[in-house]
Amino acid sequence: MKNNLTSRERVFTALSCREPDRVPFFLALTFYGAKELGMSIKEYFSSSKNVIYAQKKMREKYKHDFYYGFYYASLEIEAFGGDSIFYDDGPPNAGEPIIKNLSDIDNLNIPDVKKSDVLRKVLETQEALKGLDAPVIGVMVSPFSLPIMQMGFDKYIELIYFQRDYFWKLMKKNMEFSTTWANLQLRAGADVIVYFDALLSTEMMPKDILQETGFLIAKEMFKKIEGPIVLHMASAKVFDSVNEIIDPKVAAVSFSKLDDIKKLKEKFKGKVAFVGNLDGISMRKWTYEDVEKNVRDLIIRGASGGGLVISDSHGEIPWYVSEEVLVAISEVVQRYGTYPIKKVI
Amino acid sequence: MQEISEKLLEFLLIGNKIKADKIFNEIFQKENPFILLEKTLIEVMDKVGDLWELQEISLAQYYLVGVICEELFKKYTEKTNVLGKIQKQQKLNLAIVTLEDYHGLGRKIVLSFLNSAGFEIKDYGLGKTVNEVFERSLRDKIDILLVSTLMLPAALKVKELVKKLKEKKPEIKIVVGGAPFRIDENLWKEVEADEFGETASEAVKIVRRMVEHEK
Repeated sequence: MKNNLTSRERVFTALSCREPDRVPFFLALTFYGAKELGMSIKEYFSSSKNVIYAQKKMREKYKHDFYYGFYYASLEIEAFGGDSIFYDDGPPNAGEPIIKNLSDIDNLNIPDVKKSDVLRKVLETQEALKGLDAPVIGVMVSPFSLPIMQMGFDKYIELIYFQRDYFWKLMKKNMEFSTTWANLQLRAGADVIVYFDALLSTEMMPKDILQETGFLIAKEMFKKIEGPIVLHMASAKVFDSVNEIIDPKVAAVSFSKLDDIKKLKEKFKGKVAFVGNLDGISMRKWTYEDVEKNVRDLIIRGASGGGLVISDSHGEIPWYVSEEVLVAISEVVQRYGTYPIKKVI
Repeated sequence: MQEISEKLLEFLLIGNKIKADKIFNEIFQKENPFILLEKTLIEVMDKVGDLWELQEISLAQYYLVGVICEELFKKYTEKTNVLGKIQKQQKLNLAIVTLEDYHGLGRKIVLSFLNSAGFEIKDYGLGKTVNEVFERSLRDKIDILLVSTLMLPAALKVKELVKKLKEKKPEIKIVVGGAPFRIDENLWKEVEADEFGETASEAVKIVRRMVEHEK
């Protein structure tokens, strides 16, 4: 039986598909930090000091294994000159599309990431949290998924299908931006980059189209990102996509409620770890018994051999999930997640 | 399923507008084209709904089917006055909105399916607040309001919208759809909506049922 490891040691052992002391778990606490500090979400994200303080406080409270250096997805659109709409109780959304017609793609300027005030806050957060006993997660929206916010999902689908030349023009610009953004985060202190690409799921796009577009872009981006990668497809099903994007740099892939961790681990044994798949929407109504059932079942089905990080499947814990549920998740993981895993509890 | 529906579906699922247009053209060379068109589109949309529920097609394909059908339906029905005649039979006022959040794809898919089925429906757009939807629905004398959301906080606000609308117009019907309602099967009841349309095809069936009931 291994002695207690630090969160950092635990996580990297699990990501190497080996068994650490217990299953690591990750609470994707983004705007939830505003709740912790009793301020509005907009105010919370206005300063890296708030995020740094909240990340440390929440890790102490919930005892999960990570620091989360992610603010919100539409921050990247702000870097492009767009804006975000803030809510009282949920993630900021991207505002008006910054690309409304094809000429906007021709005229789109690639942001200078190093000079961006909005992105600097993220780098400050990662610098402040680096080197501690838990790994720091950095996140980038993939160049392939970024246009969902840049132009709207409907127009983007039409671009992919009906204007492929303009699609590639946009991809070239996005890939340049995203490469710089990912690597600056790694240099600032992120230990791993989450490559957030909901569109890579065959739930979102047909496989043959992905083989001509998203999978190619992902493979190219993996070569350019200078550190370990976790591929995240939000709450979409991943089973049919994983084989296409397995890469030595991809340490883990998210999985959703629609995936079966047992089948994933059987198919990809030892090649990649998996992160998921608690449902954040149902979590808001969970009793302690529900937490116990969901977390314990996940551990029994997927924890043996390492290669599992327990997390929610979307990458953001909803505002309406109570602190009690998060504390319960922590307790249940610690109670049932110690290796070797007992199959019958 | 008719052979012509199968062929049309095959072209729609790969986004081939040109070949889909040829099928519409083929339909309009026949006698009573609108009867054939209605039958074909119902078959196509029902099949697409089934394929989506079975996870055999992607969201992008679901969107393309709707948007291409809508474009071609409008193109071919505008050549005659039939669309106006179809819509005059619709005694109920319909509207659709993406409540609070800015993810409009689900709304667009449902809207394109409803338009392709010949319904006249007001599109309130996306990012609208509860008060904005409330005021507009009353002003437009809406009888069936379809509400789409992607984010959980937006879905939870439906309850407030339902309460406000039903206080002023108890007979209004509110149909919800979107990811939060699919993931949490009881959510639509929790927010006191009248119906939940799991797919765009189902939303069309619900609206058709309500409109038929009113005739």
